[in-house]
Order: sequence, then C-alpha cells, then structure tokens
Amino acid sequence: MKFSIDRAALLRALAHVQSVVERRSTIPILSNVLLKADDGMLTLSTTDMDIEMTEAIAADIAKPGQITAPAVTLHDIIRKFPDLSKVTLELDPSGNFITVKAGRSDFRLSSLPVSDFPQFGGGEFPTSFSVRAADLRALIDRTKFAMSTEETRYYLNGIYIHAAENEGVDVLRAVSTDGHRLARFEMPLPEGAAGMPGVIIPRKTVLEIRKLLEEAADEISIKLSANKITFEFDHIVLTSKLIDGTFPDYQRVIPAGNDKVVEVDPKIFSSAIDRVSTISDGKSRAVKITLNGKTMVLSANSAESGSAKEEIEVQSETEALEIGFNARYLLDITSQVDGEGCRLTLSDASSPTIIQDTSDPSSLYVLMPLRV
Amino acid sequence: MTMLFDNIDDEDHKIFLDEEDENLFDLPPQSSAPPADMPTPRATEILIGHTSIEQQLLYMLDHHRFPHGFIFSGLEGVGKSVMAYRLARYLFSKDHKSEDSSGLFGETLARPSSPTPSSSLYTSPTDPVFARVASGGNPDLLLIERPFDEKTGRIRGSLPVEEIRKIAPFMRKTASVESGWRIVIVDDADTMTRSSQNSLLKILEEPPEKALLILIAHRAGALLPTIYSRCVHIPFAPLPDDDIRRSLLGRCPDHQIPLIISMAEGSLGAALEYADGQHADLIGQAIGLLQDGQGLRWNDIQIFADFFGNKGNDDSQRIFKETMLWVASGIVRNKINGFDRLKSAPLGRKLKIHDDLRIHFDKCQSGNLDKRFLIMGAYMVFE
Repeated sequence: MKFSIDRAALLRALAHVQSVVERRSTIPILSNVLLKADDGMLTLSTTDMDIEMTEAIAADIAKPGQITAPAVTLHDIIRKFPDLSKVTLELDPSGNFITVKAGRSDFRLSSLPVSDFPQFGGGEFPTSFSVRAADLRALIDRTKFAMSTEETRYYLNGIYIHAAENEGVDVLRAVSTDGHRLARFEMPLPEGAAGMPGVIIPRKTVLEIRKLLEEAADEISIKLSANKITFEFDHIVLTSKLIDGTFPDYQRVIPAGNDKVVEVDPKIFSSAIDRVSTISDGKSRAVKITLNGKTMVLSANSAESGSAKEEIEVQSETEALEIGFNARYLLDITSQVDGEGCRLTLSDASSPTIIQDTSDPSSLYVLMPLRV
Repeated sequence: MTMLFDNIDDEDHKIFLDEEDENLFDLPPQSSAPPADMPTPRATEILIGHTSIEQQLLYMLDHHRFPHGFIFSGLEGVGKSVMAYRLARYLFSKDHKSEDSSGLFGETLARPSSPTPSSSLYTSPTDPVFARVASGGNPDLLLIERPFDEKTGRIRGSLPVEEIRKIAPFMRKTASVESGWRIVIVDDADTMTRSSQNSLLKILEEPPEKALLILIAHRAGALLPTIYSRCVHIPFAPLPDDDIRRSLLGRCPDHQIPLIISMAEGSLGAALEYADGQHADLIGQAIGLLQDGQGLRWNDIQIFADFFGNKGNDDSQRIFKETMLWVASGIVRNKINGFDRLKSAPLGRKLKIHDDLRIHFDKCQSGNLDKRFLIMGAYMVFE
C-alpha cells in the first residue's frame, strides 16, 4: 500500500477519528487506526468497540491496500509536520511497519494485522431518514444536559429518540432525564422516520456526534436498527451501539394540570439565580422562589455563610406561592432558553414545574422542586 | 556548618533511597508471556481432551438450555480458557452466519428451519472471528483479567471491583450484531475480592437476553455460594497422561517426558511450560543437585543459585519452587523415583521437610528476600 496526501486534509480527518480512541486501553488494536487506500480515496476508521468512526478523504493512491497504525502517534506526527507539506505513507515490504514521510522527515511506525481490527458488522438498518445539521444540534443541545450519569439506572444514560404524535402532528421526539429534571425536544417527523424503533443513544455517542456537528454541512443522514445507529455526513460515518434497555414512560411525569403561569425574562432570571445561589450550600444548592403578584423574590439561606435575596419583576396572574429548586438544575434549563421570555407553569410547592421558552414550543423542561 | 550537615543528610538520604529503589520498587515486570511457540488460550485453535464437556455445551445450546453463567473450574493449564474462547468464537461465528443469510438487497432468504447441529465448537483460524477474538478486538467480547499494577510492576494478586464494574456497562449496550451474543470471560475468577463477587452478583441476578458470563476459576470453592447457585458449574478433570505425552512429543528430549508428565499432574499448560528448553534444564539440574539429601555439593548449588537467582528470572524461580515442592510431596507420598534414603526416613521427618520448604518459600515471598537465598535455603531444608 502506498499513497500521498495533503497534510491538512489528513490532519483534519485524523483529528476527527482519533477522538474515539480510548487513551488507556488494554487492547492494543483499539489504539490503532485502520487505513484503507482504494479507488482514489483513503478511509480512516477507529473504534472503542462501542462507537466506530470512519472518514473518507481523497488521496493520491499509488498502490491500494489496508493497514493499521497507532492513531494518537500518527496524529501527533502529522500535526508536527510543517503546513502545506505532502505526506507519503507506505507499507513496509515486511508488512510489520508503515513509513511516514514528509519533506526530509522519515518515520517508521509499527503496525498490527488488519484482521485483528474490530468489525461492527454491516447488518441491516430498516429505518433511515435525514435531518438538517442545525436541527440535530438543537436536539442534542436542548436535551444532553439532563442525561443521567448514574450507573444503576443505565437506561437513563443517554437520549431517547422516537417517533411520537403531538396534537395531531407527527414529531420526532428526543427525551432525556436523570430523575430530577427532564428535557423534551420535538421537531417535525422527517420523511422515512415513521415507525422507527425508540432507541436510547449512549452518552459518549451523543457527545462525540455533537463535537462533529460543529463543522458539519447541512444534511445528516441517520440510519437505525434495533441495536445500532449510524450518522452519516461529509464522508464521515459514525456507528454506535445503543443502550439495551427500556426508557421509562416519561409522559406520566409531565404534569398536565399545572395552572399557575409565570413569565420572566430568562437573562434577568438566570443571573439572579446565579447571584443568589452563591450563598446556598451543600449538594442541593437550594434557591427559594417566593411569588407575590408581579414580583418574584429569589432567596437562599445558609447556616454558615448567611443569606441572600433578590427581587425581580415578572408577569403573573397567580396568587402567592413559595417553591424551592436546585439552582444548578434551574440554571441548566434557563440557559437553554434563547428567546425573550421564559414561562414557568407551576402547581404547588411539591409538584413538578414545567419550564418553556415562550417563543419556541419545540422544547419543554420539567423540574422537580426541593423542599425548602 | 548547616550546609555541611545538610549535605551529609542529603547524601545519606540518597544512599538509602537507592537501596530501596533497587530492592523494593525496581522489581522487573513479571513475564507472564508463554514461550514463543505456545499460543495464548485466545489464539489456540485445538482443544485437547474434554470432548464430553464440549458435547455437553453443544447439547445445552441445541436444546435451548443455555444458562447465563458458567463456572469452568479445574487445574491451571488444563484447558478452561481454551474452552471458553472456543465457545465464544463458536457463538460469534454462528451470529455472523445467520446475519449473512440475508440477501444482498436486504430481503431475508429462507433459512433452514432447523440448522444442522454442529458436532464440535471448532472455528477455523481463517474465520475472521478467530483473529478478532485473539486480538481482543471483538466488540461483543469483554475479557476481565487481574490488572497490571504499575506501582509494583506486577500483575495484581486479586481481581478488584473496578474491573468487575466494567461488566455492567458492557452488558447494557446492544450487541454489534442484531440479537447477537454478548460474552464476558472473567479469568482467575477465584481471585475476586468479596466486593468484586458482590458486584458480579448484581449482573448474574438480572442478566440481559443473549448474554453469557464465563467464570474461569482454579479453585471453585473460593466463589460465593450465591454466585455458584446462579451458574452452571463445569469441572474440568486433569488430562490423561497420554494426551499430555502426545503434545509433548518433539518439544523436549524424550527421556524428560515421564518426569514432566508426572510433575504436570494433568495440566497441559504446566507440562508445556516445563518442557520449554531452559525450564527443562532447570528442573533437571535442580533435582540432580538434591542428591538424595546427603553430601550436597554446595559449590555447584552456589553456581546454580547465582545463575537462576538474579533479577528478572521470575519464571525460573517459580518453576524451581514448584519442582522442589513436587519432590517434597513425592517423597511424603512415596510416589517418586529415586530418593531412596529420604523415602525411607520416618514420616515425621518427611512431613517436616515438606512443611519447612513451604515456610521457607512463603518467607522469601512475603519478605521479598534475595532470590539466591530462596534457592540455597531450599537445599538446606533437605540436608
């Protein structure tokens, strides 16, 4: 195998694929990248056995073939080559080494057999549809903060994606929760997604795909089966295992009977919570909200540090109410509200509260109160 | 003045550190790698013996009576791991075949209603599954082993709970092949700590569909009864001498084979290790120097100890230990050729040799004593 390629193009692709590689793996083949040169294209693949990432880039192929090379080392070498240089990679005739050349530099890297490299197996993907990159970004951003990290309820360690119906409209819905808060995002159901299986995308996959979306073009093609999901765009293919579990019936915890509606400017609200919560102590970081007519008083008390109070103006028609929240959870949610108004729909001090962006009905958040 | 004292202090300190460095912290990494011509169990194609166990496993699989957990117990080197990997490869390659039977354009081809039952768990080394299992690169196989301790440079003596905690996240992800098997092999399962065992129980209590846990244990009794009751226990009997003899042919001089077979006591792994050139020499010399316990040639023993007692010779020292203990127990049981004088000694004396030898080795191990002393001291016990 022999090919030459622009340093910049190779570096970009390597930077993408090497982010999947586990730094401290006990299995040597997993720290390698699989390089396939064929038909004018170089394909790079890496895996941690849960996620497989593949990227194809155009290269000048002198002799087609396959080889593996240590991913992080190769990335470091290419990174340190001068800009605008042409890199040549060649398989040593012995088959055990790969040589990397650029200008006057000449590296020899050890290689492992291609047959050792994990295969995710093709398999069938009965469902396939495509979404705009901006929509997928929004879907992930609006829900990823609520994913649980607790191992015992493993089925919450990801984002649940499924097809649903909301007021007669078919929607693609993403839900995540850690038991204290819940985030739900909806978008019109893309063509081809009807009848898709409900799947839970694992946390690491969510974060990896989000990183790639930063520079993604417009359309992302998504393929699904009961055990795998694939994202495909700009010659990048990310395939991941899914979480093997049943997502709880989240509809039950979204309250329907909340009648007290309060609207507040999200920026003023966020900064007030942030300030007041400086005083709250302990893990719960409790902030008390006291509603009285057109004013909302945010307060925090701590036996050690003292107390804090801040008053903000709100639009509300409700009678007086006192309720406590975890300040960090509240901030996580209000930071997702980009519009002019943030609507809180409350019931009483011990029931969950719904928070929404007044200008954006696509996302909805549910937050459990704290006893204060 | 203070300068001077400081300097001396520093110097002292340095010398002390150096010494400590050499004796305590600079231990060579234990080479657990088998001799070059002996493949690891992961890459072993041929299973020797244990055909009835293989048939039993196939029967359970064909009759849908496959459990979620197996305990493979038996002597070290008898073939438990080889069988575990063989079973894993078989299940994985079956998964792949059933997936391949779907048509080129996604339509499902008619599958035979009852696939012909296989007669063995054999998977050809040319099957892609084989190389991936051998390299550890199969996405549906997780291997849990005693970890390498970077502080001491040795493999840890027990399986800590952090390793066992890797199993749950693995079991809770889907398999890479639709409705394929997910297999976890826990090696040295008998060295699990109490908390490791409890953590493992959590998974055994609620195993997911098509998940298999294989525990490889040299001492099945070290496992909790609650683990025991949730797994199917498969004991591996020591291999017959003939099987071992066949595998040894051509690996060592013929005249050494009877000795090696007798020392291996039914463990093929041990036999192959003893038969390795340098190890076979060591065993021959070690026994030769014993001279029936009288008139020991201390000069020769000294040279022998100097040769094998240096650093980085962990394997040789272990085999020396095993050889001496085997001789001692052979004398107690009157089951060894030669050593007539020692064998005719009163039982009390023979037992004392055996016990003293054990105590001596334990002391050397726990005190991290000079390895030359380990060798010389062993001969003193016999004199």
